[in-house]
Amino acid sequence: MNIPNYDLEAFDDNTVYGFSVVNSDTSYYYRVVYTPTTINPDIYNLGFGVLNADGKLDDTIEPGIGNISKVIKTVGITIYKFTEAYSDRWVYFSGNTAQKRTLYNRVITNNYQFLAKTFIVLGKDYTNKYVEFELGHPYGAFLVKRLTNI
Amino acid sequence: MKNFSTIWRFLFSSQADKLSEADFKNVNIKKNKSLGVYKNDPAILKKTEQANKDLANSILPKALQKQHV
Repeated sequence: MNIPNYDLEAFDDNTVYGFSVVNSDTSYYYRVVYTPTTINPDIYNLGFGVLNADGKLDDTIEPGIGNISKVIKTVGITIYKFTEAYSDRWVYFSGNTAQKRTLYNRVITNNYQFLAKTFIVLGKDYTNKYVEFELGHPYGAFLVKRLTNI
Repeated sequence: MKNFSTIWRFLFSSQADKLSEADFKNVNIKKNKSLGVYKNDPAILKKTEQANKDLANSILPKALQKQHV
């Protein structure tokens, strides 16, 4: 299945991205922001959400059922582009709800054959240890990095 | 089922999304000027803080445990 993506724009040297989701009755503008963590400046947190009327991000708004694949793929493209620009950096992401964590596990599982050729994928297991991603195991958070330059 | 969230409906729908590198590699992105302000967005700061806490309470591979000063 060829999943389309939303048109992306990049800001701030590929550390901020934006895209519009337009439905028949509503439209949202998503921001995806990569910020360095204090634990290790090579680990960047991936945060994304919908811009609300105040210009602030809201991560509680869910895209419509028909848009989820496109939104996830578009955010995935930002990971690809961010790590293309900064191949030495790791990207950290985790869902803030059980549903989102399940969704991320599923998307990675469905695409691991391709992802493993391009990225190192670590998952946080039930002991809070980051280990190499293995199919069939649920993880609470993820760290990914380009496979090159290791 | 009225409150069955969009994400759960997606998880149980048939939209299992298989992607390939071409889906990512050949995407053109319009590059714009600096925004800057989003680094200070409360939601982003909160998310980054949550990431810091989560990473601090986790066991990272040795290569990632380095602290830059």
